[in-house]
Amino acid sequence: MSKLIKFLALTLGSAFMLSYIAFLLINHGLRNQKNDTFPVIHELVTSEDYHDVLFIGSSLAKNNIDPRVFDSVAHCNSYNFGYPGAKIDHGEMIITRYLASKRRAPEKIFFILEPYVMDSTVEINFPVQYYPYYKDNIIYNYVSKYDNDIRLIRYFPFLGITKYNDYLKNLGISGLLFPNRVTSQLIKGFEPLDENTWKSKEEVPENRTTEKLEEKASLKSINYGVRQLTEICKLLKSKDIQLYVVLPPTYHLDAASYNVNAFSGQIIPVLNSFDAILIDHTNLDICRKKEFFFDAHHLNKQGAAIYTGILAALMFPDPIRMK
Amino acid sequence: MLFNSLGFLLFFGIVSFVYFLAPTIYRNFVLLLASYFFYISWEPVYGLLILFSTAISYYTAILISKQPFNTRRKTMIACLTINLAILFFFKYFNFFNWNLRLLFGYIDLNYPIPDLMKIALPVGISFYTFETISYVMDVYYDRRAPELNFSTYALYISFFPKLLAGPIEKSTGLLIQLNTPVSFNQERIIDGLRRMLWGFFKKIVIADRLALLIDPVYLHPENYSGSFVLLTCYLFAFQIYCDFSGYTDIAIGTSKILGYDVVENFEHPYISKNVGEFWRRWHLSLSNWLRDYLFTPLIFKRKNWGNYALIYATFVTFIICGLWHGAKWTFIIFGVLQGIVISFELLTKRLRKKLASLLPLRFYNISSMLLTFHFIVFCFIFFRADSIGNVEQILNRIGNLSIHNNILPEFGTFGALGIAIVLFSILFMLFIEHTYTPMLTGLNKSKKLSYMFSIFTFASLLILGYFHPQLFIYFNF
Repeated sequence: MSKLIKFLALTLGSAFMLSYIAFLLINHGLRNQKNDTFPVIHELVTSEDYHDVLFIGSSLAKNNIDPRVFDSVAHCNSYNFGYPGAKIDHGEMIITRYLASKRRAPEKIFFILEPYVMDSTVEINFPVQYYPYYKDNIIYNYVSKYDNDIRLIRYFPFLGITKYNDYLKNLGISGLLFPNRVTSQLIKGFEPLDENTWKSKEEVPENRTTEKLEEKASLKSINYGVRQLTEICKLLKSKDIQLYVVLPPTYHLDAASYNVNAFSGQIIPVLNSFDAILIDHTNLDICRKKEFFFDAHHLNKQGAAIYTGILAALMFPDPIRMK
Repeated sequence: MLFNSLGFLLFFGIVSFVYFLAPTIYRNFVLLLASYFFYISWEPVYGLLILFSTAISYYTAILISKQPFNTRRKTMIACLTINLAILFFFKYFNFFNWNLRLLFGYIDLNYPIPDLMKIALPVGISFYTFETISYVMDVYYDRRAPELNFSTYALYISFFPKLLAGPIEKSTGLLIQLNTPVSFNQERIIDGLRRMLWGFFKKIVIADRLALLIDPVYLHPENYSGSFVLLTCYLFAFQIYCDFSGYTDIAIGTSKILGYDVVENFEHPYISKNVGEFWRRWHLSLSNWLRDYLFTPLIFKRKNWGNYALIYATFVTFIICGLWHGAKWTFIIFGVLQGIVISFELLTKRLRKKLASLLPLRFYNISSMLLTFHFIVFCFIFFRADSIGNVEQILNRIGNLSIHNNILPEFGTFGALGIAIVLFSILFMLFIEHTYTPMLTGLNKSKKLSYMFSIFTFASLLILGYFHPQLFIYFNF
C-alpha cells in the first residue's frame, strides 16, 4: 500500500503545487491587464482614487457613457463601472465594494437601467473574469450566487487554472510579461463602439412586428430586480448618495424591446420612497438618428459622446455645484 | 458519463474501492452492477437492449455447443441475424431506406416505407455487437467452450472500461481473465493510473483543443482559405489519434487498475510504410476482428479464385469497416479507398520489393511513410466530413490553395497560446510514445523517470487542459 500512497502523494502533491503556482501567476497577470474588463475590476478592488460620479449598469452603461465627456462638461471625476451583461446584483456589488474601499463615497451614482438588467432569470456573463479576485469577500459572495466554480476555487485553488480558457491564459501571460501594454480602447471604463456598423436588416427595429414587441415586453421576471433596487436605494440613502436611474436612449421608442411606461411604472414607487430620481431618456432627439447607433440599443462612439454631453448638461447645468 | 468528466472519476473511485473491499467471489458482480449503472447513465432503455443482446448470444452459444457441428450452423446464423438486425435497426435503417427511396424516385416508382423516427444511436452498440458475434463464432468453431456463468458473460460484454468505444475484446482474451480471481496489486494500479493520466492528457490537452480549431472549418469551409483548410486536415490526423488512443489509454488504465488486461489498439500508426501496415497499427482490435471473422472466412470460401479472392475479401472487409463507423456514404468511400490501395499493395508486393532493393533503404522507408501518411490524411477528410457535399467543399477549398496567404489571422480566438500548446503537446506526445512505446512500458525501467513523467503529465493536464468535456469521436460509432 505504501508504494501506491507514495505515488499518489508525490504525483498529486507536486502537480497541484505547480498548477497552483500557474494559477497565481495568471491571476497576477490578469490583475495587471489593461485590456478587456480587467481594468474596471482592478479599479474597483485595488484603486483608492476618488470619483464624484459613478456609472453602473450593463453594456448600455459601458458603451453609452463616456466619462471624459461627462467630466469636461460637469467638471468632475467620474468612472464608468458598466459591465456587459451585468444584472442588478452586479450594480449592488459594485456599490458595496466601492463603499468598502478606503476612498471617500461618491456624490452621485447613475444606474443605467433596462428590464434586462432587472431580469434575475438570466445568468451572469462570463463569471471567470472575477476569479482573479476570488479572495475578495464581496466579489465572491456576488459571483458564488450564480457560479459554483468560484466555490471550488475558494476551497481548492490549485484547480483554479483549469477554469481559465486559452484566451484568459493568454491575457494573464501578457499581463505578466507586458504589464503596461494597452491594446483596447477602454478609457475610465468606457468602451467606444465602432461607427457605421449598423448590422443586418433583421436588427433594424422598423421590421419588428407588434406581436414580437408584445412578447418582449414581458416584465414578469423583474420582481427580484425591483427588490434588489429597493436594497440599493436604501443603502445609498443611508450613505447620503444621490441615485439617478437612467432609462437610456433606444433607437425609435416605438420599437424599444420593452414597454417603457410599464417598466417605469414598476420602479417609480421604489425610487420615490428613497428620493432617487428617474431620468427617462428613451425618447430624446438622438433616438431618431440612426447614425448615432451601433445597434438598436447601443450608441456608437459619436452617439455616446453626444449623449453623455446631453446627460451631463441636463444634470449639471451649473458645474460649480460639483466639487 | 464521459470518461473525461469529474463524474466518471468519482464513479471509478467508488467502484474501485468497493471492488477491492468486496470478497473475491463477489467482485465480478460488483463490476457487472457498476457496468450496467455506467451504461444506463447514458440512456436507461438501452440497458435492456444490451441485456437482450447478451442473453441471446449467451443461450445460443450454449445451444450451439450441445449441437453436432453439421447442425449448429442454423442456430449460429439465427443468433447473428438477430444481433445484426438490432444493429441495422438502430444504425443503418434510415440510411438504407433513404437511399432506396432515392433509387425508387429515379425510376419513378412509389416507395411506401417511411423513415423511422429519429432515434438516438445506443452508445457502444457497434462494439458490443461485434463482441457477441465473435463469442458465438468462437463457440461455433470450437475455439472455446461456452461460458456457463451468465453474470461473467454479461460482464464480458458490458465491462465498462471498454463498453462505449472498445477495444473490441475477443472471448479468448478478457472472458478468460474474468474467470480468474484478481488480487490487489499496487504496481498494476500505479501502471493503470499512469496510463489513464496519459489518456487524459491526449484527450483533454490535444484532441479537445484541436476540435476547437477543426470543427468550425468542417462546418463552414467556405469561411477559410485553402491553406488553412489543408492545415486542419493534417491536424485532424492528430486530433483523431489523440482522441481515440486517449480513450483507449483510459480504458486500458482503468481495466489494469481493476486487475484486467484489455487488448492494445494502437502501435505508432503514423509511421506505417503502407496502408496495410497502417491497419495493423490503427484500431488493432477492429482490424483483428475483421481479419479473423470476415476477411479470413471470405478468403477460405473463395480460395479457388486466386488473387481475385484476395481483392474481393479486401474490398468487402473494408466496405464493412467503413460502414461499421457509420451509416454515411463518406464512410463507405473511406472503406473503398482503403480497399483500392490495399488491393494495389497486395498485387504489387513483388514489384515494390524490387523497387526497394534498387533505392537506398532509408529513402524508400521515409518516402513510403510520407506517402502513406498523406493518403491517410486524405482519407480522413471523408472520415470527418458530414456528407459528400462537405468533402467537395473541403477539397474545393484546398484546390484554391495559395501559398502567399497569411493563415495566422484565421486561427482567430485560438490564439498564439493555443498554437503553442498544441505544438508543444504533440511533440511531447510523439517523443514519449516513440521513446517509451505507446504502452509506456519503457517508463517502468526507472522509478525517478516514472514519477517525473506522472508529475509533469498531470501538471500539464491541469495547466494546459481544455476543460469543457467533449464527447469522444468514436462514441458516435
